[in-house]
Amino acid sequence: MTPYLSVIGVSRNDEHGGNLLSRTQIFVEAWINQAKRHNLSSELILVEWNPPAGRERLAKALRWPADTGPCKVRIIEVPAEIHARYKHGDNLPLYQMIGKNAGIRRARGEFLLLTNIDIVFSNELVQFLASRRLEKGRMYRIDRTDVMADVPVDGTLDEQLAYCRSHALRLFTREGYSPLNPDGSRQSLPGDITGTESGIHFGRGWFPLDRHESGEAFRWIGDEAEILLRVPPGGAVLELDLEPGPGGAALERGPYTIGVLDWNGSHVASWSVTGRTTLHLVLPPPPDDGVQSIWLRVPDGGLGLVHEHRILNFQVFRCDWAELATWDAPASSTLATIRRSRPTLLRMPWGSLTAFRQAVRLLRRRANDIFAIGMEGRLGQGWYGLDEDGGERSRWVGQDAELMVRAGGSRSLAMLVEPGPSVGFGPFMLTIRTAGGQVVARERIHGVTYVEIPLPVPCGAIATLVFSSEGGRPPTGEDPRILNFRMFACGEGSSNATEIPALEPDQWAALTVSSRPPGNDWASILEDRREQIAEMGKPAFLHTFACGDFTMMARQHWFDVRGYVEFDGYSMHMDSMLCYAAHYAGAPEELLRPPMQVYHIEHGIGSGWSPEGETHLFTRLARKGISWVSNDDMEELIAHMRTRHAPAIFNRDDWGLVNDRLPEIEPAAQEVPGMAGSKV
Amino acid sequence: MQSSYEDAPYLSVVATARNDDHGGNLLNRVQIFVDAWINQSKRHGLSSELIIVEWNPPAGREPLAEALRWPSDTGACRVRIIEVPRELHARYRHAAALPLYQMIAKNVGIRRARGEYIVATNIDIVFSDELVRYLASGKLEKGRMYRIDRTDVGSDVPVNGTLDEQLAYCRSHVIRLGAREGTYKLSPEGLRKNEPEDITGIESGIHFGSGFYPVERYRPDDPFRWIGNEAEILLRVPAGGAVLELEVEPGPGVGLDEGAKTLEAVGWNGSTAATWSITGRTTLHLVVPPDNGKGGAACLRLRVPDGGRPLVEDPRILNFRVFRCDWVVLNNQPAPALSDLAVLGEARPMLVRLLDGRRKTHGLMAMLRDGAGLCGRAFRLLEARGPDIAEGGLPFRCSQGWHELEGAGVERFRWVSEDAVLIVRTTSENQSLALLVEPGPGLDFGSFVLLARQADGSVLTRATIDGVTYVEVPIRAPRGTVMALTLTSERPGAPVGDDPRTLSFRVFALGTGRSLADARGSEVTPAPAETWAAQTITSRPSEVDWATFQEKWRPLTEEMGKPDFVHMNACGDFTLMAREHWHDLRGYAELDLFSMHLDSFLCWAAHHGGAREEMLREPMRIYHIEHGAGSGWTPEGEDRLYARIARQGIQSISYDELLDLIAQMRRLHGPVIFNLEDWGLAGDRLAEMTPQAKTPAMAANKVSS
Repeated sequence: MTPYLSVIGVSRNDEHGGNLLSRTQIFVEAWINQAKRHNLSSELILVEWNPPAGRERLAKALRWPADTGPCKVRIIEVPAEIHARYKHGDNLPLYQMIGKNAGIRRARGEFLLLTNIDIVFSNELVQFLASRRLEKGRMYRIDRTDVMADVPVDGTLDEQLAYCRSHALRLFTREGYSPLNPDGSRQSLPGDITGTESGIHFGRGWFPLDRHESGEAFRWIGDEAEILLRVPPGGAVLELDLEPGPGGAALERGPYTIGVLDWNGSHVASWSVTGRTTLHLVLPPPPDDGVQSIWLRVPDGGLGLVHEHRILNFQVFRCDWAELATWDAPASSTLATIRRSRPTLLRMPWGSLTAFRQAVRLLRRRANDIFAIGMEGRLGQGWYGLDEDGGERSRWVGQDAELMVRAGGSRSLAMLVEPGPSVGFGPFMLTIRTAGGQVVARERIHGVTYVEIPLPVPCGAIATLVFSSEGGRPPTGEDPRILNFRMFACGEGSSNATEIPALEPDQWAALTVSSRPPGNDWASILEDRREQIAEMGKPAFLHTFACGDFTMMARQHWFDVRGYVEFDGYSMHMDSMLCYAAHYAGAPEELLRPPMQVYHIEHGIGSGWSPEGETHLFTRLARKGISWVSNDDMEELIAHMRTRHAPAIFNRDDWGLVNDRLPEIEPAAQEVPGMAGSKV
Repeated sequence: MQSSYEDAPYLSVVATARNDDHGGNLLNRVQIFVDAWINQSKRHGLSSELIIVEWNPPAGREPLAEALRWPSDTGACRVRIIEVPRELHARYRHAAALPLYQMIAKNVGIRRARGEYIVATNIDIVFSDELVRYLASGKLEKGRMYRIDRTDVGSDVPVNGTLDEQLAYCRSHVIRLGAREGTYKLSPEGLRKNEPEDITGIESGIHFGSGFYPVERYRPDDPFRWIGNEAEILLRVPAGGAVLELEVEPGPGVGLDEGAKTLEAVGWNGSTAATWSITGRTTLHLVVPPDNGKGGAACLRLRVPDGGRPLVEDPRILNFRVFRCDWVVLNNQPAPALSDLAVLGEARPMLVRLLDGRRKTHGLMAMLRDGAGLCGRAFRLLEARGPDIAEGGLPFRCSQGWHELEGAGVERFRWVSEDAVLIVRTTSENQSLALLVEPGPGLDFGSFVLLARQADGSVLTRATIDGVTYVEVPIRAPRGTVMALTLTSERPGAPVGDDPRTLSFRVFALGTGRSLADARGSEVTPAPAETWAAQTITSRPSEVDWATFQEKWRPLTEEMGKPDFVHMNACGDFTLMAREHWHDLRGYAELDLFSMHLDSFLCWAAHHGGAREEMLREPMRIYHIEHGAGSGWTPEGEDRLYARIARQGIQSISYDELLDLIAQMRRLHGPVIFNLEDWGLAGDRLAEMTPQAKTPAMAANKVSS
C-alpha cells in the first residue's frame, strides 16, 4: 500500500556533530510516536551512507519500537564501495544530497518530506500532515527553530516537545536567522536600527542587520515587513529613516509608495518616497497593552536582481520612537504677561473681553517657545523658526503646516494667531484638518485672534493637525517663504467635551519630515541589467534557509527536478537550488506557519551549517581541497531560473543511484545493549 | 525513460518544418532533403525513420504530406509526419511573432523517435554518401555526441535531379564551411580562405585549418589568430624546403604562471618536428623540409602540450596568439662588379692574417705549401660577396645568433654568438660551403674549435680557428635544398666589458667552396630526407598580462581543469547521439524564446552529460542548401536577424548567458537541464501520419512552368 508521506533522512553512525545517536533516536522515536498519535500513514526512510567499518549499523545502534503503527521504517544502505566512487570520498564521509536522492528515488509515498535526523516536528505540524490536505503543485517549507542539545532522549514525546518549546535558541526564517529572546521574539542586535530600550522588534520580512562601508547600520525590507511593538497608552510617533532600494527602484526613478497595515490588517497610512527620507507615523492608542504587530508594505516593489536573490525594496536606517517635545519655563503673573505682550494684545479686535482673557491666560502659560508649559507636541512641516522680533515671540506658519499634539483633559487646543503677508495681512479662513482629512475647525482670523478648537482624539492620544489657509497667495517680494499667519501661543484650551466632534476610529497619520537625495541611484547602477530585471518580473524570493531540514512536495515534483544536484563536493547550497528548481518546475513555495514548527536539535560546532560554525567549516573544506558551490554560483543559477522562468536541473536520468541495488532492511525491535544500556 | 522498441530503426532523423516558404523556396529544399535521405537510406541499407514535425501548419496551405511528392517505396526508411496543431502553438508567449518553436518541435520528434540513435537536423541538409555509409556501418557508439562541420552550398541543387547529380552539385558549389572555430569561405581547393589582412602574405599559399580561430585585432594594425591545442597550417612547401617564420605570444590557455611555455610543431609524418620554449612575444623560424611531392597542401600542426586551460568569459581555448606565419625570404643579392685589383688591394691585410693563422696552426711549411691556394680561395670568396657577407646569388639568411652587418669595404663582417644558425639554399649539388672566420673578444681573440652542425645535430665540420681562417663545410644535398647550419664554438664564449652581446667570432664571407669531389674533407653522412630545424630569433615582453586579467577567475578556472571547446557551430543541423542521451538531457531546452543558442546549449549539456563530442571528419560531410538571408543563420544575415528579433520584442538566450551556463557546466562537470519530465509535449496526443505516394501539386506546377 502506498503511504501518504515518505519522511527521508540520511545518516551514518559516526558521531557526526557529537551526540549523533541520541539525536537520531529522538528523531526516529518522535516521528514514529507522532505518526501513531495522528494516525498518519507514512514511511520513514533512513539512508545509511557509507557505514563506518567497526561500528554498529543504525538498525542495531538505535532502539526500535516493536510496534511502529502506521509508519513503516526502511533503512537503505549505500555501501562503502559506492561511496568510494566519489572524488572526495576519502575526505567527505557522507554525500548528503546523493544520499537523500537515493531515498527519494526509492520512496513510495504520495508526498515526500526531505529532512534531517536531528529534527522534531511540532504536534500541530504532524496533525496537519495527517489531515491529508497537502496539495500537488506546492512545495511546503517552514521556519526552523533551533533548540538546545539536551532534549531528553528517554523522555516521552510530550516531554521532548515541551523541552523544545522552552529551549529555543534561534529562528531560521526566510530572511535569515535571528537569535531569540526568552519570550520567543527576535532579538535586536547591538547597533541595531532601533534603540536598545525601544521595545521594537523586527519580525517577518526584515533582513538581518547590515552595514554600509561607512559603518551606518540598516536593514533591508522586502514586500512586507512586520514591526512588533508595544505602543504606549495614548499612542506614539514612530520615526522611520529609509531609502528606496533596487526592488522598487531598479527600473525607474521614484517616487515609491510605502504603506502601513495596522494591527487589524487594514491599510492606514502611506507615504510617497523619493530619496533618503525621514517619516513619521502617528500611532493611535493600542487596542490593548500587549505587543502589537504592524506591517510596512511596498506595493510596487518586488523586482528581482541579478546577483542577489533577495528582494530589497527599502533600506531602513532607523525605526524608533520619535520623542514628542515638552516645554517648560516659569509661568509669569498676569500683569507681567500683559506688559510683555502688550503689542500683541493691542492688535486684538475690540469687543470680546472673554477672548482677551483667554489670550492672556494662554500667553501666561507660554513656556520658552510659543507652546504652553506641559504641552506635548511635535512640529511637522510648514513651521518656521522662533521669531522674537521687537519683543514679540511667534512662529510664522506656511501652507499645510503639521502639528502633532497630545490631547489633554479638555481635548481642545487654544491658539493665538494673526494673518501674515501671504494672505495680505487681511482676514482669512483658517481650516484645521486631521491628517486623515477630516475638518476639525474653520475659523475666521482677523487681526490677532484667539482660536480654540476641539481635538478629535481621546484624552492622552496624539492628534495630528494640518493648518491651511483659504486664499493664501504665493510668496511676494523678496521673501520666498509662504507666511500665511503667525502663532504667538498654543496650549490646551478650556472647552468642555460637549463641543467635541465624534472620534475618528483610528488616528493614524503619515507625515514626511525631511527628504534628501538617495545614497544609491539604483536605476543607473543597474542600467545594463534592465532587460534581465524586466524579464524576471517580480520573482518569488524563496525561503531557502535551513531548507535541508524541511522540503516537502509531491513525488512527481521530486522526479521532475531529478532530486538534489549530485555534485561531487560539499553539499552547500544544493538544497536551496532545489527549492528554486522546484518553484520553477511547477511547485511554488507554500510556507507552513506557527504553531506548526520544526525543532532542530543543536549539535557541535563545525559539523553542519550553524552561524557560529560556518567559518570553521569552510576552513576545513578548503584545507582538504573539497569544492563546494559558492554563493555567487547559486545566485547566478537562481538568476537564470528567474530570467528563463524555468528550473535548472543538473542530474541525468540515473540520479539517486537508480542503477545500484542497495540493501534495504526493516529494523527489528530490540533494546540496544550499547546505548540504551549505558543510559540506564 | 522508454525502453527500446520492437523492430526499432537504427537511426531516427528528426527535423521540423511548416509549409510557409520560410527562407524562400522552402518546398524545394524540403523535397531535396527528403528525397536524398530516402535514397541514401536505400542505397546503404540503413534502417531509419525520417520524422518531420510539422509545427503550427499555416491555414490555407497544404500540409507537407500533400505539398511534397513521396516515393511509393521508401525502402529501409519509414517516414513519419507528426503535427503540432495551431492551438498548441498558441499556448506560447511569442506565438504571434514566432510561427515555429524549432527546439520544442524537435523535442516533439525526439520524444517520439524509436531509433537507437537520433540525429536532429534541418530540412535543408543533404548528407554526403560517405557520411551515410558510416551511419549504416553500425559503428556509432553510446557515450558520444557526434558532430560535423557544415558545408554551405549554392541554392540551385537540382530538385528533380538524381541523388548523384544533387551530391555532385553540392561538391562543386561550396560557398563556406561552418567549422568549430568559426565560419569560413573556402578556396577552390577546399581550404579555408585567408582574410584580406591576415597573418600570412596574400601570395604565401599558406592556409589555416582546424585549431586556428579567425583573425582578431587588439590594435588596428596588428592582426592575429588564436590557436587551440592543435592547429593546422596547410601549405605547399617550395621544392628543396623553406623556412617558415612564426610570431607568437602565449595566451591564457597555457596557464597564468610565469615561465616559458612550450610550443611544438608536428611534421607531416606525425612526429614532433620542433619544440620551442616561449616567453613573451617571440619570432620563431622553422626550417621545413620538402614534403616529397605528395601533391596538394601539406599539413603542419602546431601543438601546445601544456595548453587547454579555460577562461570564464570565452568558451574557447586560447593558447597562443599567432601574429605571423609566413615564408622567410632568403637574401639573394648580386655581387657588385669590382675590379680584382680593388678587391686585392683592400683584402691584403686580411690575407696576411690568413697566412699568419695557417702558419700558427699548421706550421711554416704548410703555410708555404698551401698559402697560394688558400689565398686564392679566400680572395674568390671576398670577391664574390654581395652587399652582405654572402656570395652574390647565394640565397641565405642569418637566423638566430647573428649580429648586424658591420664594417665597410672588404673588412665587412657579422659578429656571431653561440649557436648561430645559418640558413642557405644550395646552388649546386654536393658542394661545400666556405666561410672566412676570425676569433672575437668573446673567446679572447684566441684560437678555438668551430663546429658546424646540420639540423639533425650531426657535425659536418670541426675546424680550428686561429686568426683569419678559411673553413669549408661539406654539404651533401641536391641543388636547391634549404639547409640550416648551426655554428658553435666548442669552447663557450662570453660577453666582455659593457657590451651585453657575446661576440665569439666574426664571419667575413661565406659562399660556395670546392666541389666535394675535390675536397679532402672527412666522410659526411647526408642529412636525413626530412630534417626540421627550430630557432628562436627574437623575443620581447608580452603585450597582454593575462595573469592579471584573469586573476579574479582563477579559483573558477582551476576547478574546470582542461575542458573542451565544443563544436557548436551550426549544431542545429547535425547533432547525433543515442536515444538514451536525448532522454537523459530531456532534449533541447524548451524555453519560450527564439531558438538562438539553444542548440549550442544542448551540445554543451550533452558533452558534460555523458555524451562527449566526437567529430566526424572529411570526406563525411553535411551540405546545407543556401536560402534567403535573414531567415536562419548565415553570417550575412546575422545582423538582420538580430534586428528583426529586437523589433518584434522576442526574447532569446544571449551569448553572455550561454557563456555563464557553459562555465557552470565546466565547473560542476555536469549538464544543466531546463525541462521537466513532460518535455517534447509528452502529455499531448499529436496526430501522426505516413505520407502517401502521389504526384503532388508542386511537381505539376513545375512541369507547367
